[in-house]
Amino acid sequence: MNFSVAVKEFALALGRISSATPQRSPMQVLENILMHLDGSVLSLTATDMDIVVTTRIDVRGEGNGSILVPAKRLIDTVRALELGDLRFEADLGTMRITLYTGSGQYKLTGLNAVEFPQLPQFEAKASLKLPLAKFASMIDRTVFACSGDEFRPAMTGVLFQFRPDEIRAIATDGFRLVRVIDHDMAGTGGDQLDIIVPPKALNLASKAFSADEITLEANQTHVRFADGVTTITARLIDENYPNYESVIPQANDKRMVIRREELLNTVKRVSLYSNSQTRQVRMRIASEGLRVQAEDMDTGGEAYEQVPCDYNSDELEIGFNSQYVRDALDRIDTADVAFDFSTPLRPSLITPHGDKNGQDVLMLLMPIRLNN
Amino acid sequence: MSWDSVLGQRRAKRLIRAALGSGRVPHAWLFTGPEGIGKDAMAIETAKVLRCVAPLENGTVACGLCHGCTTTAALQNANVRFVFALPSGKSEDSRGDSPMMKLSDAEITLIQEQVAMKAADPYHNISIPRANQIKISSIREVKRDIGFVATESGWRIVIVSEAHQMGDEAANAFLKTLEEPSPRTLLMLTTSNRERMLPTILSRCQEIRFDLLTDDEITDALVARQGTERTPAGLVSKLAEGSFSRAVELLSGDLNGLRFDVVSFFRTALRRSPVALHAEIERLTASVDRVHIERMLTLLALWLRDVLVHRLTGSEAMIVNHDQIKDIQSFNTRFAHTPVDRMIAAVEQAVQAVRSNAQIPLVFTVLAMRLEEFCYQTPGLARVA
Repeated sequence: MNFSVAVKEFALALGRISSATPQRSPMQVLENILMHLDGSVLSLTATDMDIVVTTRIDVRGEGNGSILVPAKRLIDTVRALELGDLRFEADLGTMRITLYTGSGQYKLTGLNAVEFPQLPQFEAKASLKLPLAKFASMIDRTVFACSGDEFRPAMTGVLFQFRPDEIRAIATDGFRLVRVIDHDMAGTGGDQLDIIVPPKALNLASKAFSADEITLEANQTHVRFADGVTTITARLIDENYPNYESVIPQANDKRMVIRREELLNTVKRVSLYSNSQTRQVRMRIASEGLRVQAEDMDTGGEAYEQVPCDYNSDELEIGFNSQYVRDALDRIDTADVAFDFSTPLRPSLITPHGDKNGQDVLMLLMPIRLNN
Repeated sequence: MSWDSVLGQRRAKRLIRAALGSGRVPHAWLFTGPEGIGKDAMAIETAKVLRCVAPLENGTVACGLCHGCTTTAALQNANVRFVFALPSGKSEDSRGDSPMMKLSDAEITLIQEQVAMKAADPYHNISIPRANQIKISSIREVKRDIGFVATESGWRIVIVSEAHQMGDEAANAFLKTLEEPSPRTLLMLTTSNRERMLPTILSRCQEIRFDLLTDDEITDALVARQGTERTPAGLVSKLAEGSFSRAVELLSGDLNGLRFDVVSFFRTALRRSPVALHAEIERLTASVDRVHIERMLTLLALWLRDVLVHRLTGSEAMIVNHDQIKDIQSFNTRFAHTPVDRMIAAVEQAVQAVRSNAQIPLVFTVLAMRLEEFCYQTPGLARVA
């Protein structure tokens, strides 16, 4: 199994899959890259058992075959090489690998390809094409709200719901919830498929691709993202997602509309004076404006700022975790946002105000109980 | 066929095979019994059957050849997770970091080597420096993994080796996994220290007690697997207290030297020369390793047992220290009426004393004096005075 390839392209291809290789695993075989040469196409595969990433690269190859190559050593070597051509020769009997460059050679030992774990068989139930930018923004708007608690596995992932006329993505950690509905990315085939995708796969997918459009395929067990060159297959979280719809209040009748950027910066500044544990900020909303206030009993710091807003209901005082407010405002791209409140102890909703850009975004925040 | 890789344990095998054959596999098994009697080996073999593509004999025997069997045996199967104690890395965050994240490269290599050795010989005791706890992050990983769709279809198996090494926090975290079993997921816990397990864990597992291996089982296995000669194999099997891994460990040590040391100590004790005895004890206790000392005393008890057996039966068939038969005979001729049973009890007391951290030379001096007293029926102390 021999091939020649440009160092630069080879390094790029290795870079696309390298993040799937676990650095420290009791399963030594996972620290290898599976290389498979078929004619002039070399495919590279890496996996940590949760996610499988495969990419292709055109090479000048001779002798088909497969071999496992130690990932770290190969990647470190190729990255450090001078630009030019690289010749890769592997003896599939002894598993000795030699890399020839213009100026020298590097020898390493691979493993028999049969030792690599079996890759999942994949049969798509739902399949759709979607613009990468939109998909990436959907990921950005949901992944941050996932729970880190392994004891509620469902909530550690993002729920995707495929419906005939829309796709929904939902994430929650019990203190906040995000729901993104996209009407333009309607799917085919999978009318009622619900899947929970682990965030690691989504983060990888939002970074690994370069094409403008990617395909997303899914079934009950796996999800696959592909752009024609690189394929990411991830196993799903096999749990029931909580009934999130029942959490979203329908009758929040006090609406405040405010400049997003202005509020975000205010919260950033004022929250510097909040308690570092609770990060609590107090918002007093009245028709003359919003007052954002924070104090820290421990250090004696306190701050407040007044921000103009549009509000026509009874005066209201409500507490929030400032980090959650910032996370939410950071991920909305309209100039104005709307807050919908009911009472100081019930969940509030944050939604973009004005141009929606094709995606319905709803962020729900649980308030913090104020002591006085 | 493949169950032969697990020595003895007929009762446990029968129970497990019955469960596999009837399809009524519990969600969690707890294998209990002393170290080195095959609990992990049994767990791995059970996992092989469940991962085997084409199990034989009504689904109770692994074929040993398919991808499922070979990768499980190598502890590299995607659906089989083998959990064991790991050292903690520098400034490791038990919540955020994955269990091996903060370990040094040398430690990782060592861990991988140990796993490979365990795969090659399921009776191997994984020993990693500073690894004294099953980390909560390992348990979290298990929990997380079970939440996912299985990597390959079919059974998913988690083996927690020496489960008593879970700290309270880890054990409590594991409870949740034990309580809410996922379908087609088998948890197998093994422990040589049942007393240290939380009662809440015990009550959620189906326990299978493992029996001590018989001397013959150990002897045969040593001959077959380690290529040991029958005589030394027979000797260590008597010393191994029913544990195969201890027998292997004993074999690798200088057992013969120890056996002669023991006789020499005994002989010196009977010479009634305090000076010679002092010198002998100094020589023997130069090693401060208590395990070594304990083993020496066990050998002495075994030698005395031979004396007793020879005296009662007059036959040589049941003698362990075969090559020392002359010494045994001459002892019995000269001290025909010594209470050997009480001498053995005295040795056992000495073992206890060593275990409870007594000063070793003192233990030996006292023991020598008591043995002497038994042999000559005169108080040793009076003579010294």
